[in-house]
Amino acid sequence: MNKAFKLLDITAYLFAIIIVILTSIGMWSMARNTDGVSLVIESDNTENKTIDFENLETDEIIWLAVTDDNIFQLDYKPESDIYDNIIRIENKTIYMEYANCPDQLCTKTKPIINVGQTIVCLPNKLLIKMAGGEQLNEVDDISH
Amino acid sequence: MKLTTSRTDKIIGVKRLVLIAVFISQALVIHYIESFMPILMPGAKLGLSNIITMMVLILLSPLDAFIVVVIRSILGSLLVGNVIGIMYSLTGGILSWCIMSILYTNFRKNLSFIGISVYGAIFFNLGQISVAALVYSSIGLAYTYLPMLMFSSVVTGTFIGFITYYLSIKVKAIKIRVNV
Repeated sequence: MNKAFKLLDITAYLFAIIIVILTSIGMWSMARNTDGVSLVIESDNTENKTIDFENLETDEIIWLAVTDDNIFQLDYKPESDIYDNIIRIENKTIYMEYANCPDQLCTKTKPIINVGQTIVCLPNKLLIKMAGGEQLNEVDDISH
Repeated sequence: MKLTTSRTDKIIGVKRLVLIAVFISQALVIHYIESFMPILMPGAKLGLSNIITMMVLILLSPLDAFIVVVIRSILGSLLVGNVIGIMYSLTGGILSWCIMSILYTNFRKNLSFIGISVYGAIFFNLGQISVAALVYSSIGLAYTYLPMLMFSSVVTGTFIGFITYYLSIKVKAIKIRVNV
């Protein structure tokens, strides 16, 4: 080792690594924040539907059944045959429970946790996404 | 190796005044030249002015280093033409001076110039990012900039520490003795 280094120098490098770890934790917790977040369903066949997450208990499960004309919000698991898509909201996570499309890509998609993520069922023309959350920035860019 | 050894030299004295002025002008020249160097990411400067801060810490006293840092931040930003940079340089410089002077006066036995310089660079960038986050009211800005800034400050801090170490060896070899 070079003669310029001494014993406690390594604490400086460890301090920098600690700060990097802290900022990563901060970023992760900011993405997981669910204040003012809502689930938005956009469908070409029926109208759009929005469900807020604020008044949701953690152990409450909500089922959304999608047909050609309507979107039903239920408390129990509906029968699979008569509906096009069934969505389950549980523990602030959104699952696509069932779909009658031939490729089944939407049911294999990972469940939505963060704001901005989406699940799409193209044959049924259905899009569900997490929207809202706190505003990070009022302006996009500033230059002097 | 102190340049001001007698007691009157430490408190008042033309020698101390002249030495501080010489160091400030050197820091200004270094800052001006550094402004021409290309930057890899916003805010990641090479920090060559910290060489002067550390040399003043070694050769004079921490109070003199504080004077050099404050005046260098204000005049340096005016000289380059970036007036808003005063805000960032001043907070970063004062915060890094605090840490460097505390570490230098207390921990010099086991912490070399490189460690002090890396700590100084880390806190310089922390101060700058805190001011930026306050101005733009966005903590997300800090989260996105800090990891890369920490990496660059570790690299530049090590480099500045090496320069300071070899410079201090040369200065010690000259054996400066100036009579007032």
